[in-house]
Amino acid sequence: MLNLPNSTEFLKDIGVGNADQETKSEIIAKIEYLAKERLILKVLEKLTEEQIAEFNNIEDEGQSVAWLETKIPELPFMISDIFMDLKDEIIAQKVKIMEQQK
Amino acid sequence: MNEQLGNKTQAGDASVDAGQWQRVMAEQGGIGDDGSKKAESEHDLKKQRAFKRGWAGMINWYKNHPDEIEDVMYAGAEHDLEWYQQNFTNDAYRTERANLIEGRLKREREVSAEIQSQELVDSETALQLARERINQEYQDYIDAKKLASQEIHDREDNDEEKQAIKELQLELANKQLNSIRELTSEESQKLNEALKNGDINQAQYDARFQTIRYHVLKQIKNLGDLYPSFANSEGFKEDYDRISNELAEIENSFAPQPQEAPESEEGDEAKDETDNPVAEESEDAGADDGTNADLVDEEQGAAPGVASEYTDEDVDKPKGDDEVGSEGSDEAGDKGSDISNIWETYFKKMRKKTTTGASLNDGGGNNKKSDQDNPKDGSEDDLKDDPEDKGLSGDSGGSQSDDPDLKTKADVMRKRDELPKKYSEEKIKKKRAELLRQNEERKLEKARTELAKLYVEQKSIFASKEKRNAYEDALAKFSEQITEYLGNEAKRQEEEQRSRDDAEIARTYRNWEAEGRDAEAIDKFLEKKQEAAERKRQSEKAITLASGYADERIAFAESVKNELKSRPLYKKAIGKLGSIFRLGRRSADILSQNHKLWQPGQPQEEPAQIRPAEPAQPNPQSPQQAVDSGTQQDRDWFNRNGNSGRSINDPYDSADGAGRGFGIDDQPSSDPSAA
Repeated sequence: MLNLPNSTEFLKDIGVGNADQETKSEIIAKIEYLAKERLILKVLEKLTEEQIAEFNNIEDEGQSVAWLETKIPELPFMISDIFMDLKDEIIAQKVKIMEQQK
Repeated sequence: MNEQLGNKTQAGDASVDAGQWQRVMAEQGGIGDDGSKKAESEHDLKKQRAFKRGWAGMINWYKNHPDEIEDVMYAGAEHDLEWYQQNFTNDAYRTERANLIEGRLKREREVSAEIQSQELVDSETALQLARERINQEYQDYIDAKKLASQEIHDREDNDEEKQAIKELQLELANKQLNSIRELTSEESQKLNEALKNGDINQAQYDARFQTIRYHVLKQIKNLGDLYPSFANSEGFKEDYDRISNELAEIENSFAPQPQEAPESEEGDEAKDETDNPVAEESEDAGADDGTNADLVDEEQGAAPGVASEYTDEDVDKPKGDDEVGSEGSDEAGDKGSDISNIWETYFKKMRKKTTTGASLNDGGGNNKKSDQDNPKDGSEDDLKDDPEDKGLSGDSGGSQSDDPDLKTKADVMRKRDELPKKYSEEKIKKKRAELLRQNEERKLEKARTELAKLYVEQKSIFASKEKRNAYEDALAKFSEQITEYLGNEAKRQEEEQRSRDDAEIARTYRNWEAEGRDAEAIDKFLEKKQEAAERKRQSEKAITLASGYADERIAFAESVKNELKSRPLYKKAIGKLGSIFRLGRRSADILSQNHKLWQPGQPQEEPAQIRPAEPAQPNPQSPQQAVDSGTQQDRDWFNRNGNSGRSINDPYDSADGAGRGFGIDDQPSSDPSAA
């Protein structure tokens, strides 16, 4: 199963748990959009150009998903990994900057 | 006790505790609880006066007697006089006072025991040392508060400083105006001479004249943009607006316009003027001012290409005589007066309207139409003869002032040196920070684009190791750039917010002080407010960093995606994947407690607009709104709690409660600043 983080916990972890709702929604939206972009690129990284051409020829969306899961079994974990990586990156970035500015 | 109080009064100190007096007087049959009964003796009269003088005097006494620290707690009760007058004999008051004293005694015992264990002194000495230490701690506390209070005053008491900034801006603007004037005069003189000597023809003269006019107006406008005090100074604003409008007309007349031949009787020659904006202006704006140049324009076409030879550089750096033509004219003096009309229109007004700093000098170019009988060539003699320039320094570009205290250039310089330089420095600093930020953004964008290309290049399984390494190196560099950029951005925003917070706190301080509230009580409260502001700034900083990081990474991902999209194969795949990996819910549900972050393959009822349209912003309204709304909250809280006199001067109330010396639960029930 996917081990996706809870959005509220995610926000707390990156240090913005006390932000107002609008800001939190904005950040989550950005995070999710970024995750999606990264996922697309990661999937493309996993596929050869021949596979990409094959993927393009599948018209049905459900079949496309099934095809992807066949070719990239770790796809579900990639998603959770992306969120984990993002969280780690943001925290590391914050710590680094805070340290620099001490 | 009575004796003690009496001694205080007889010593001229009438500021003893009103409650004590009240009880004493009641016991003696003097005045009643309302303090209205007449005194029966001189001694009682003093007591009564002491009572009537009330809390203000008492507070002063306490401030001078820190050894009475248990009573100082009540020093913050100045504004609760009414409440205390109504309640100070009730049980709550007595209980509170007992707790107060008990707390002090407890604190003394604790410190005394500590001293005794550390310094091996007897109990009496230890107790004495403890009292001294507590008193000293209190005094330090008060001193620190006073210092902090003074700092706020110093930082924000800036009415005079604002005025100084205004004056400085006007002085600097005037100085630069003089530089423009000098330059224009020099140009005017050269132009006149060139025309007079026949080095240029009339059309060339006209074209250059309009070029100069254009640049002079532009530089004046730039001055107004740079120095708001100057632009908004009394009497000049109208001129400034007119200059802006004229410039807009001039600029609109040439930049985006198709090059059409102007309506001119001069045919081809005039057509050539349209190649040059200023030449074209000679027909438009030039005609409006009714100068002789305009009249000449109708008789004589401009020479092709003349105006285009004259660029910004030409204005900034006057050309030599070898660059002018060979035709002569008897109208040189008149043309000189045309240029000087610019100064007539704009600058001479300024000399009268500005009140500080170097005033304007019409200088060599100040030749007027009324002087046509004696055409002037912008020479020093002309300047000396000109009654309009009375009192002005013609050879130095004008440094004398209408200000009687600023009669010489040295006076002006001295005055400017006395002005707070830090403001111009701050402005420079701010501008520099802005330029740095822009530079960082440009570098970041460049690095991002390059990185995206490298990403695509190294993506192929056939990519060389060098390309992969190049990508890795660029990625590392890019990450460093993001760190630097976000760090600077966060710092800049933090400083700006700190400035706003400090200003708000200072305003609150001044308002409350003006209302006569107790300074120490205000300090106590404002300290909490400052702490809350600091917490908020750190929170905003975290938001800036998180949001900014996401923005940068999104930008990079999109750059890569765009690079890949240049290949049809990838373009279609990206489109399909984007359709498959959709958000699993509406954005409104994002913050639900059980919400997990995005999952693929779950169609949503309506697509959420998740792509942020704007770059990361720390929601600039929110902090200020919070401050604004908090102000009323603060007032409410203060009204409820701040004047109660409880614990306001307690130097020992730490956040964890440890060290609270007086045994009173004095925390406000709802401190907005702690949120």
